[in-house]
Amino acid sequence: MMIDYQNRTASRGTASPLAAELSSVVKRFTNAKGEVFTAVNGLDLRIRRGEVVAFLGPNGAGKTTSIDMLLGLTRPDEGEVRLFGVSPEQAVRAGRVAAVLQSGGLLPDLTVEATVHMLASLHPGADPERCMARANITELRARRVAACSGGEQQRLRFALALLSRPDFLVLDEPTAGMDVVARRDFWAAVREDAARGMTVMFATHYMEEADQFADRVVMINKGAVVADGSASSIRAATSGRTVSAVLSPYEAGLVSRTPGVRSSAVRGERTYFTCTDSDALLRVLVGETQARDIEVAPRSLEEAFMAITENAGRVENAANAQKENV
Amino acid sequence: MAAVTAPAAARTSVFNGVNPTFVRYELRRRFNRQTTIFTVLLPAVLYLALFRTAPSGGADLPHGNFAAWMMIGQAVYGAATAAVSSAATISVEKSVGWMRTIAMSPLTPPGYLLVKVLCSVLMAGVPVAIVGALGALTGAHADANVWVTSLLVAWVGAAVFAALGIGMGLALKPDVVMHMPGLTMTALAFLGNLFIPLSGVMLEISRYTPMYGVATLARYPLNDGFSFHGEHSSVAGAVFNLLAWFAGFSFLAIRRFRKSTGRP
Repeated sequence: MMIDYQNRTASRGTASPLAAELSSVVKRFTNAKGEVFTAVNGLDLRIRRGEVVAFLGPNGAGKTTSIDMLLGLTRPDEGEVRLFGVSPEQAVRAGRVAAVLQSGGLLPDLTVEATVHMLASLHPGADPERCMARANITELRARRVAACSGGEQQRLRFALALLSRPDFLVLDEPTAGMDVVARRDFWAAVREDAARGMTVMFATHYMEEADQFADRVVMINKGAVVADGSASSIRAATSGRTVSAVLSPYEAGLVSRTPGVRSSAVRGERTYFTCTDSDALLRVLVGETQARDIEVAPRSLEEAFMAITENAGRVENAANAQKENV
Repeated sequence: MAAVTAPAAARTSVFNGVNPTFVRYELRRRFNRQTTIFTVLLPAVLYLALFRTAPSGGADLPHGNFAAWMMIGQAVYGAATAAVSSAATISVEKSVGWMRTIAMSPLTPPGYLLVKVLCSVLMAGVPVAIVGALGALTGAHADANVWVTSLLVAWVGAAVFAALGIGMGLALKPDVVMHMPGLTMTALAFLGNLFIPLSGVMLEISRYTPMYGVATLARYPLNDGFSFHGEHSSVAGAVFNLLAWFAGFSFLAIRRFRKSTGRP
């Protein structure tokens, strides 16, 4: 069942033609008060055929808007989107691209079976029964969509995405609402398709999913790419812990010069240290300072983003950012 | 492989993706309790309640009787209500993001609209047939060509309200649209001279309402355009009314539709 993705990537080579190409894409929204908000700000992204790409970013980073533009559901204000060398609309109509969108998109009054068969009729040569089996929803066929759990609806969306036998599958937070077992089964099914050479791009805010599944991780924040590299290089940038304590500014200044401390920040009365070796830092705090209320926490994805954006600004490879700090 | 070559040819069509299976599921969604009451039951009940309420001294028309006049009116009303019933399904589709699912399929936007109009026209045939059968059973009589032409116009004229249904469905929220189409159609039917023979000022007002055109054309073979009080309605006026409202509703529907694929 386990497949070595790194080898597979290497064997595909880098010369394969592009599955998707977003060039300097900008999308602005205007809210009810007339204020303009830039959701996607000059995003550049090229996805080669056969790649499995995780699209990582905190909430509001512009992931869903980017995906909407990729699929032709929203038109960019500036820049261009091409899929397999044609417009997103053409690629979608030809059945080359399919998507599992985050929410909605299903009719609550239809049964699972009716939904699959109704949409299958639009795709020439689709095999609805096989797609239902692949997404593991065959036993749910008589259930109304409204009675399905979030995870079951997600599996239904997956079955619908498989109808056109796409070359490129786009998944927007596909495992939201799934339990552990469903999540594992879901990724096993996607892996099978990826192993046959299907290009996959998935948005997530779970670092583990990106880590376990993707060849390549693209991090975006505030509508632009902030890091783009292999899963392991991104993991290195997001590893480490945050240690926080209440202590005087003088002592905080001394502690922040301890080896292994990458950065420090004061929020309220607490000082937060980002470090590679939390044990060494704890010894310093306990043994050499008057620090109180010490806490150690794993670094969250949001903090990793902040570290990447603050330390290196715009980096092509997160591993470089890591090396500079060590 | 035939399955591969056939769709390749179809892909060039603007109505790409339209197929009988999709239409069948779409029709099944349209037949619920709400639509059955308004499209089948109400026209039948109204016909039975009203077919004997001829104005004094005016029961006979050039080519038939008052019951035939009422039958045609109820057929127009039933067909229009059936056609507009797409509003409820479209409104739900829009609110749950079904439009996005469709946008991700080979079904083109014109194809989507064609399916909606086709289902509306198919559904409109049901009340026309039922009211026609009731008319035949309860003594509506008219020349043979009146039966054919009038009921056919009532049926085909439903296209005007198919466009209205699409526009309403895209413009209104599902909880509002549950009752709106049925009530609006009933009000328009009264104003359009379908239930009670109108005359004088009411008839003049009626000439500007959406159902007047279809109703006047449908009844023309029966009464040569004359009301029970001798007022004449021209074919040209009725055709103008029909085309103007059809153009207006289509414009509304298409404008709303263009805006509808974004996130809800």
